This record gives sequence, C-alpha cells and structure tokens, in this order.
Amino acid sequence: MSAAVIYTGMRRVIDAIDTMLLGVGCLMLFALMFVVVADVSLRYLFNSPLAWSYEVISSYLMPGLFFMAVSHTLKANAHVAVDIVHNYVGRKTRYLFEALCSVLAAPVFALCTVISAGHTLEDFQTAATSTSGLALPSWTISLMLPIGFGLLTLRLAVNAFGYLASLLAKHEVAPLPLISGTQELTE
Amino acid sequence: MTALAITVVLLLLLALGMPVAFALAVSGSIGLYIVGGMAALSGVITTTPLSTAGSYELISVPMFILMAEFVILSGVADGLFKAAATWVGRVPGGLGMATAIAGAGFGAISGSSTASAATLSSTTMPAMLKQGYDPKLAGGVVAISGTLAMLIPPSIALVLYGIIADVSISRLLIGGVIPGILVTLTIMATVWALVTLDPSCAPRGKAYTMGEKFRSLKVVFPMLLLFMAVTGVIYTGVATPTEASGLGAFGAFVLAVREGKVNSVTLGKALTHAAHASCMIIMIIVCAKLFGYFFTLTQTTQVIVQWVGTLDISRWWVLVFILFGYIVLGCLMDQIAILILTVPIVLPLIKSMGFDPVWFGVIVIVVAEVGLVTPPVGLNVFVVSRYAKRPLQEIFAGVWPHVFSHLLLLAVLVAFPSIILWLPAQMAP
Repeated sequence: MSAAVIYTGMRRVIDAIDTMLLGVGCLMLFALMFVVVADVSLRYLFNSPLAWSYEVISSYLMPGLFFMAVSHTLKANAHVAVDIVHNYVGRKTRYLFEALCSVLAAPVFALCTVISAGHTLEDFQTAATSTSGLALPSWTISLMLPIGFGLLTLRLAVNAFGYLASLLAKHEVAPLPLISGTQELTE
Repeated sequence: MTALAITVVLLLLLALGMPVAFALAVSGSIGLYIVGGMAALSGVITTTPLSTAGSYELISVPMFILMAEFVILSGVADGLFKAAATWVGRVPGGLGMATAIAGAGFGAISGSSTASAATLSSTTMPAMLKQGYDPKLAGGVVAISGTLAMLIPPSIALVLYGIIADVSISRLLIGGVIPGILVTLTIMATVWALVTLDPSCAPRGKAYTMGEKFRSLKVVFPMLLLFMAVTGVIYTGVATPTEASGLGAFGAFVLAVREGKVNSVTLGKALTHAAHASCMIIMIIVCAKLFGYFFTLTQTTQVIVQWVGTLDISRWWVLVFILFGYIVLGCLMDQIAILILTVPIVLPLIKSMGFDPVWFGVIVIVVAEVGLVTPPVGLNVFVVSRYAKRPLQEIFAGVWPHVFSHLLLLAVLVAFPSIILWLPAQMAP
C-alpha cells in the first residue's frame, strides 16, 4: 500500500471524528450564549439567576467548546503560527519544518493524553465528585482532556506521517498549510 | 541558565513555524521536566488545561468572537460606510474619512479587527476606487481603520489583556473609548493632510440632500442597540463584561435573525469560525500558563524585574524600550499571541516602575494596532489586499503615513496618561 493511500485513509477517519466533535463544540458554544443571557435576564428581571449556570458553564460548556474543537482547529490551520521563515525557503525545506514541528509536538500531547487519561480513570474508580453544589461526577468533566488531547495527538501523528512521506516520496503526499496572507481569511 | 536555554528552544520552534501554542507547550514541558521532574509536569498537565479553559471570565472571548460573526452575518454594518459617506463625502478626502468613521462604528459593535478589515474592504474600497481615489490612499486608510475594532469596546484584545494581567476588564474596555475616538480623528486628519498635499489623489464626492442624510441614519439604530447592550451596560455597571459579552452575542444573533440571514448553513459557519478562533486563543492561554509555571519555578520574572531595578536609567527609557520591542514584535507575530506571551513578563516590570496597568493595557493595544499594518506580518493588510484584490505592496505603501501619525498619537497618550484613565475613573464603582 502506498504512503498516500495510508495517509488519506487515516486522515479520513480522523476528519470524520473531528467533524462530529466540532459539531458538539459548536452546540456548546451556542448553548453558552443562551445560558449566559438567560442567567443575566433572570437575575435582573426576576432576581432569580440559574443556580446551575456557573458550574455547567465552567465544567462543561467552556472546556467542551475548547477540547472538542482543538484538533479540528489544527485541521483548519487556525492555530496561529509565526510562518515568516516559510516565505523564504523552498517547498522541501517547508516540508522538513512541518514534519519537525509535528514530530516534536506529538509526544508532548501524547504525554498529556496519557496523564489525563490516568487522572480520568482514577476519578471514575474513586467515584469522585465536583466539590461545588451540583456534585457532578468528576470523570465526566476530566474525560474531555484525553479526548481532546488524544485526537490532537493522532492528528499530529498523521500530519507527521504525511509530511515525512512527502519528503521521502517524489510527490506531495500531504498538502502544506497555507502561509499567512495567502489564505482565505474568512473561509 | 535553564530559563534562557528553554527560551531559545521556544524561539527556534516558533521560527520553524510551529503553532505558537504548541511551541509553548513543547518548550514549557521540557523546562518543567528539567526543573521539577515528572511530578511537576504531570501536576500541571492534570490541572492547568481544565482550570484555564473552564475559567468563567474567559467566556467573553468566545462570546465577543461570536458577536463579531453574527454582526457580519446580519449585514447591519454594511450600511455604516454609506451613512458616513453621505455626511462627510463632500469634504476633501471625504470617503477616506468616512472609512475611518465606519471603522470606528464597526469597532463599537465588534471586537475583531480582522472582521472589521474584511467588512470595510468589501464596502469602502470599491466606492473609493470608483470615485478615482489613489489605490494606495484607499488601501492604507481601510487597513488602519480596521484596527480600531481592537481598541474601541468591545475589544477581544483588551479582554485578553485583562484576563492575563488580572486587571479590571470593565475599566480597560471603557479606557479604550477616548483613545479610540482620538485614533479615528488622527486617521481623518492624516487623510486630510494627504489630500491637501496632493488633491488629485482623492476627487470630491457628490453632495447629498438633508433628507438623504437623515435617511442614511437608519443604520444607526441597530448599532446603538448593540453598543448599549455591551459598552453601555458595562459603563453603567448594570452587567459585568462577561454578562455583557453574552448579551452582545445574543443581540447580534437577534439582528441577524431579523434580517433573515440565519439558516443552518450560515449559523454552522458562524459557529465554526467562532469555535476555531476561540479554541486558538484558549489553546495559547493554556500553553502559556504551562510555560508560565516553568518561569515561576525558575523565578525568571523576578530576576528580570530586579535586574531592571538595578539599572541606572529613567523608567521612561525602559518604557520606550518596551514599546519599541512591542512594535518590532508586532512586525513579526500575531497580536493576540504577543499579548499572551509577553504580558505576564512585562506587566510586573511595568507595575514595579509605578505605571498604571489599565493605562499600559490600552497603550499596548494602540501599539498592537501599528503591528497589524506593518510588514511583513501586517494581518489587516493581508485581509484588505485579499478582499480588495489589490497588491500587498500597494496597501503597505499606503499605510505608512498612518503608521507615522499613529506613533505621534502614541507619544501623546504615553505623555498624558489621564487621556486614557479619565473615563474609567468616572465609572460606577
């Protein structure tokens, strides 16, 4: 099987999972807006704010929005980078840089995934609950870390594979990210 | 020594083109491991990401970004330039001045300068070019006017500064109002000066009747509504900036629904853009915190502050040096990334020299505005160039007079801190 086929196959799987998770993240963002407005309105109009809003926002909606979207944001090339040097080097060197970046970053986020997964498992086994009013099961909150970091690690690994394969093969297996100023900034 | 080595690693990773957040995570993790071992590293990894991403104050970031998306979707800002042009289009350089006014108006309902530059380019550039404006003059004024959104509340950049610096976000946002107006006037004055020097670069526009002028103001109502929902409630103390950001996003959403622009596709797009932008910012904050722990363990910030304290130079020279550093960084890096990276180190120094953190926050944003239009990484110039389909060099060339006058205004704001601090001092406590 050629590197291109393997890369495309792996990308498709990750893209599909990411699209689904991003959908969840977007719903959380939309819900966040309504919860904040409902909370403020109820507080000022009826003097009875939502008792659960603070905890639901800071335990689920905000972290959820972040962890569910973190890998898709990399896919969309929306994590800001200083890419000035890329303007002055050839395509091969750019592939080398991109490969290096992915190879160096993947182990760090893999470590984050392993450590946070261990933490979540511990929360689950000890049936720990959040210390605030709602006493939510802690693992339902900490689970978002291994999911987000795990998917980010996988995407970095697939990217690393694609860039390295592009370096070694005669054709470009994975496309290079666009350099700032050359991309459609609103797309 | 370790701190220096890890900082060099960070810079190398940034130069490779690694996303800023990832570079911070990689170098910070290595540093934490060296200084505190696996225990310190895993302690930070299990607590920091969740506590940072779940921080209640941070809600303003996704909410203001979402508000900007809904404002664009609603199209209410499209009429801004036309309204301004109807009133001032007849004076020399009138359309250029109208662009600055539209930029300020857009800034008052949106906190994203990229969104502002994009909207301004699509509405103002064609009108100015059609009237025979020099493309350099037109592109320059659009690029610099787009940066006003960063200064005039709601400003995502000021909110971020407030969160990182632990300074009152309300006071910061209100502190941006007067400088925002002054920057607008400075842009208008620069256009006037350019047109006076070379009248052929900006032919006069047509005159409008009073009836037409007042009819053009219908765009003002939805804008005022949004402005009051955010800046109004913050200034009067009715709501916190966090609550106001939710109200602003909701108000912009209602406007977009009223204009019939919301369907599953446009809503999905707006939410996706906002999720990406928010995630990018939160990721940098999370990873900067991780890196920050390393700096705390090595006591780097204190060492820098103490070292500057031993220097036998005026605090004003130190300030000039810092601001110059920001201008240089602004030419190379994204403004949001610069803020998150530098403020935790620079602010303790600023405070130790007796400068006001609110004042410094606004000053940093004014400097960041310059960074948005200076080569090679002037994001707003990229946006204008893409939307107006004009060469990058042309827009960069047109923006220089504005950079010069902007720096003059910066000097005034530095010399007279009360220009920034007066309005926040009038707020309800």
